Amino acid sequence: MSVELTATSSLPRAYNDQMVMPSFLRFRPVGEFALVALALSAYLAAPADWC
Amino acid sequence: MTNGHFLKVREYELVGQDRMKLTLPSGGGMTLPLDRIERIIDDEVPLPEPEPPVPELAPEPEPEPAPARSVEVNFNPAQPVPTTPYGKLIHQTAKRHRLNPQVVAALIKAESAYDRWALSHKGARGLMQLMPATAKRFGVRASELWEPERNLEAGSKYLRWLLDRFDGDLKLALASYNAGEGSVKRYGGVPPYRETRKYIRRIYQTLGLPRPAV
Repeated sequence: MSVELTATSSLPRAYNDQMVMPSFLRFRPVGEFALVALALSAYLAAPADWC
Repeated sequence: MTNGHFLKVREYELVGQDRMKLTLPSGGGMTLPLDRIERIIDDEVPLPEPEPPVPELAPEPEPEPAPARSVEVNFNPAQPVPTTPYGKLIHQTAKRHRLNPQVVAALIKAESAYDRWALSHKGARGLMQLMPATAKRFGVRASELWEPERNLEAGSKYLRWLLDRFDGDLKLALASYNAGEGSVKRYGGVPPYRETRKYIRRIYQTLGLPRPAV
């Protein structure tokens, strides 16, 4: 049998990625945001003479 | 609007109401949101049917009234309100989209047997068994497909669009409704799929038309 795809569905990248990428490499908005926030707060909290 | 991309699959499985798990012929798989899928086509091509044996001394058949050779696909004020469930709603919607209400009613009978909550294993919903992606093309949200008014609106719009596209040819419009415009275009007529041919025959039978040559 066949599946007919809609016009916008030339398989979005995320779905192709999910097929080949290990789960820990997949994009996680919350995790990445937390990482950026942590780096930024560390930078701001650092003594001025470090920079 | 479809882009004509087809994906061969071995199996499919509805995951909840909004996602479809596809298994590819190679064994791999993926899960897609249902609105990425225009339709699933059982493109099984049947073997030619054997000729039925002719009885030697066939009795002379009684002359029967000849069935109607064709049906008007467009709306005509003389067409009655269908005596089926949702008959009045079918008539109103068909009139709005210039369709014969009897044709719409026959299509609904084949699609859902008038069950507004019908959900096929392919993800098609409601009275006219529309896929969320098809409903979206005709301005109806997936969540609205359980409402008979909205389902009929999208389905009738789609049928009108198909009839206009195929110059009022009911057989081709029904084949497209079932198997997609892409399949009809690819085969230059009714595709040789068992499911699609059975579907057209069923609707023709409901309309009291002779068995179509498909």
